[in-house]
Amino acid sequence: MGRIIVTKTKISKTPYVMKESGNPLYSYEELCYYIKSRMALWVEEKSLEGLTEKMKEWGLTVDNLDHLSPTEAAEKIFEAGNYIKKEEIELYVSHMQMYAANEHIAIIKDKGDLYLSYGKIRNAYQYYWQAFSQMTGEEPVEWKASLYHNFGIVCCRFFYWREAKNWFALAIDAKDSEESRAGLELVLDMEKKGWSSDGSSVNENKLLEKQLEFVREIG
Amino acid sequence: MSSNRLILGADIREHHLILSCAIENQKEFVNETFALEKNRDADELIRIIKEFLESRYEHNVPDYLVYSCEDYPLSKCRKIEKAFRQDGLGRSGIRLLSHENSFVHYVMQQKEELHRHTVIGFDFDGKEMTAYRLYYPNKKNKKEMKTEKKVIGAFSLTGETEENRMVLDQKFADLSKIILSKEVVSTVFLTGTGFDGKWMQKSLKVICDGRRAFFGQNLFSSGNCFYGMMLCRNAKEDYTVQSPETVVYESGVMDSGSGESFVPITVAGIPWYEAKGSVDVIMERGGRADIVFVHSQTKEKQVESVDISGLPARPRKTGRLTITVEFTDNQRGVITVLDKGFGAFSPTTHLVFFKEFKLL
Repeated sequence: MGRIIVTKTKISKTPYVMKESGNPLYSYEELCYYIKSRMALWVEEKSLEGLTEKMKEWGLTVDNLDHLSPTEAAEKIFEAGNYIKKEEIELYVSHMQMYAANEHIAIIKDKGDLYLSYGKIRNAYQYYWQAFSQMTGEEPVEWKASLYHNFGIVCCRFFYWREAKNWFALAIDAKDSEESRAGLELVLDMEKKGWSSDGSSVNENKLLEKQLEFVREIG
Repeated sequence: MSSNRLILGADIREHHLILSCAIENQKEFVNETFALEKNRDADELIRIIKEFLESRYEHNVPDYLVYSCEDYPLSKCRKIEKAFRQDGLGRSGIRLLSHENSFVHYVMQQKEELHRHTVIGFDFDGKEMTAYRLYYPNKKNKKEMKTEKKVIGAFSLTGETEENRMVLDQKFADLSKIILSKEVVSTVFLTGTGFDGKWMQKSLKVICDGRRAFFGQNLFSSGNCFYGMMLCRNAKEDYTVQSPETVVYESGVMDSGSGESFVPITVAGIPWYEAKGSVDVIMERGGRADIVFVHSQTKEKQVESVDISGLPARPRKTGRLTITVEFTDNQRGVITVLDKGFGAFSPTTHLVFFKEFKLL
């Protein structure tokens, strides 16, 4: 039997755009989903300006959210509608507090991953470095491989090809995967075609093209 | 809220248009009959209505427009309704009522003594006679009624000769005797141009024997106007009427967002052609949408499931659907499920799923 949630909220024509990720949100349910599935980014929001008005446009009333922290605001947002069950709100809020504290290495990597998924490379780079600085070497191999692989992608996006090659190789050493092999092959392919360590011998357009192809390839 | 809202009841007949108009919270109706050209269309109806409103209400636009249109097929009624809507008539709502339902609303707004027992209505356009019967199946419960409609053939006033009129009078007297002798009838309402011409002599004696009788052309337009007033007040009848066109099932969905409570899509007790509604839902899980039909009296449930497994796989709670329930008669209809996607997370596929249903 299918389970459904009835919603009386409206879908707006113009979205509310999250400042940290650039993610457009057209409805209250999308906002709630964004908060719960991208918690690491939500807690990084510096300003929620305009969200109170958008909530009204969606057909829900909340007190002014402008001066609340993302965690406090999330609680008010969840309570305003029926997308998140009451019993789940407390759990999400406690998770959010963990994310806001920014202490755990896994959370730091999560933030890097989310920024990377939205193409915010500088933020991703910053969080990955923070993760490296906190590594003890005791982390699970899958986790380490994922971190190295993702950092390889960040390097590609910055055109640091030599570094990218190293990180993909490290990822494969930690735990072999098709994705990291594909990344490494593409970077090696570019090496054969004549890129230098600083990328100067390769036409910039070609580089961008390669980069795009690469990103498409590895998703 | 404004107390000057205007309500317009319109009865569109084959050769004429009858309008009844009232201002909210005022008891007086303004009634007027207009002849219609042979090639009548929505434009002509709108022109007449606008001229009527201009002369009587200084261009005030009706908030609610309730119309009946028995001589047209439903598709044409909807076209007329669309034209009304495009012209800004009935800005808060436009409803279609059958004569049967219009008769009920008219009768129920009369003094209680006039509908203490069965009420009969005769509608005669000179070619065809239609009888309406409003009665209480349970004599002790005056809140539950049933209606019947019967078209009586072989009733026509051809030729305005004295002999013809006498024949018709006799036939109608005989018919009335049969109908009115079966039970206690409080009131008889006569409407339609066929009753003009003072041909009723014997029949009138039969009809008025021990009961009240009223004659007027605006029965249905006034009934429509009374219904419009109810819509305007956002009120619900304190009585239920069952007629062959009434939908006796309420449709809805079980909302897991509020502890599996029932959220209605269409309500019971209204004509099937007005029973249409939709609701937006978020799919929590499952490849089907279940629509529940609940019988208004027995509370028996019938569940109709729409298979939506053709939708792409999405994370939990990231699919918004519009479920619409529409009736094609008082027992059958169609459920439509439209995929609306989930913003940038999951764009809409524009897929639409249909399921026909038949209520048992």
